[in-house]
Amino acid sequence: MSDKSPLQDTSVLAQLANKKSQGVRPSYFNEQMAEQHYSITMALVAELAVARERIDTLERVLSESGLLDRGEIEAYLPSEVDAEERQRAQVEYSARIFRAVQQQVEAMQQKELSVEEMAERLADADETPKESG
Amino acid sequence: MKEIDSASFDIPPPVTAAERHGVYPDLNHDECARLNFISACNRVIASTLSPGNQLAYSTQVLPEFVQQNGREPVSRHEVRKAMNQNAFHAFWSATRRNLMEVRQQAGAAVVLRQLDQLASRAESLNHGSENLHLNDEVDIPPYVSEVDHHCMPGSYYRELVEGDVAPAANYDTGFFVTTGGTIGALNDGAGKAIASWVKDYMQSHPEFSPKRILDIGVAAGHSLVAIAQAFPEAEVTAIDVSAPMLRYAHARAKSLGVNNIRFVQMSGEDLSAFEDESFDWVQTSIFLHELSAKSLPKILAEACRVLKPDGLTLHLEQPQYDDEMPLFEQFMRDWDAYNNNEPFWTAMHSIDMEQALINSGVKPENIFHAAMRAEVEGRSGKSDQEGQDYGRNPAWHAYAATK
Repeated sequence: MSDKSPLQDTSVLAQLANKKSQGVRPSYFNEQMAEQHYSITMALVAELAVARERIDTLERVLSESGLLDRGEIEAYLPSEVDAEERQRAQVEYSARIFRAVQQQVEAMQQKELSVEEMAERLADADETPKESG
Repeated sequence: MKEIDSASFDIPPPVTAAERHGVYPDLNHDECARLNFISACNRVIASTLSPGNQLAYSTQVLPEFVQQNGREPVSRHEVRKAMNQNAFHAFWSATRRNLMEVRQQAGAAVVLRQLDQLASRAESLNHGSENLHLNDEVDIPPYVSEVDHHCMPGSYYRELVEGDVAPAANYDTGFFVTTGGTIGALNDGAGKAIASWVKDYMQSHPEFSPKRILDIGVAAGHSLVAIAQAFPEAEVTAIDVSAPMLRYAHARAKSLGVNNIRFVQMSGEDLSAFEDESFDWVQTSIFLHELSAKSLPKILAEACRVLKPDGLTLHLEQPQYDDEMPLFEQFMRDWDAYNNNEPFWTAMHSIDMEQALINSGVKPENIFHAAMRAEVEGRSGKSDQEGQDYGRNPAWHAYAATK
């Protein structure tokens, strides 16, 4: 138990800020999942804009305090080694984003048991291997 | 450069261009950036995507409708139902709705983290004032309690802490953002427009010299502060059902050096605290569409009752729908009703306002109309895509009458 006011608790504030407005929300897509996906996309679009503005602030502050010449950023040419390192990071980044799709491809490559099927199998005291499917 | 057929549009001002006043919430770096994104994104949608609705209608939806029904749509509701099935329009609507939800989350997060500070900043400006009269016996009417206008959770009035002003602080901050700064750094372009219009009216009606002004549904006082500034000798009364709005509006006005407004918690449906024929000027500003069919005539009747015989009553709104207005435009103007929690908007805009004013006690020959647009100084204020972003331009229609 914390003696902090709930209004100083980040987890409470985060939920309060997210509250829905009264009334059934209109739907725009044929599928509820598409609805949710698009809402998350729009939220991420906003957060990317925030992150970009923050980087821009950083560049300007560093530039104003003489620690950075913004022209240097535009003109920056990484060394061959650095460029390769960055490209590896780009690959990792894209791979992370497409994790779910990659896993879908993996799933199509072999026939697998569902968790329900596995649960039944593990609950069977005889432990007789069953042919799946 | 004749190959370029894209029209340029104004970039909306950043939220840091909004004028800070005594109860303006603290905005940190990322909160500003988030709000800046919302106004910029809204402007891009309005300028480059919104025209697609007209194209989708004329090239896809209307021809299909005619083919299926052997006739054109006969109401904006038929247009809406058909358009809602159109992929472009559905996506556009989803984008605008989501952006409003992002805006509400962003604004709520700003004020929730500083609830107590905002309340105490307001209290230090409000303490002991003779110009703030709260009354917790005023019932919140269903058209406020049951509708979170503009997808604003908690509506205008719900309080989380003692002396809460958060709903108003959120509303105020977001207003500049969702209007893209088009009504000014203090969101007062409508109030300035009304004040100028009344000054012109006084030129042709020298007998009219407003001493007592009543504003019904003042909210954060965006419009009324400009009017009180333009008529510093007048005694202005502002009513609203929401205590947080009144606390904030009073503190905001005071910090802006405006001391001739008395803020009173009261419903416009019951002005029994005021005598008959006791005000020179009774008005509402961008308010009637948030009422109900039941309350609107009551409020107009009360407004008329407290108006002096030569007084002026004035109601600023978006233009009414009439037979002259194309169904597609009516449908677009209705978007906020169905997608931005403004459910009375559609019915309100098809009311015969002249008849409603006559029913309130005004003589038919004394009714007149006035077109107004936001008066804004400086960089903010210019809108874009006139006629494309229906109902979002800073231009209004006033229904006015003398008794």
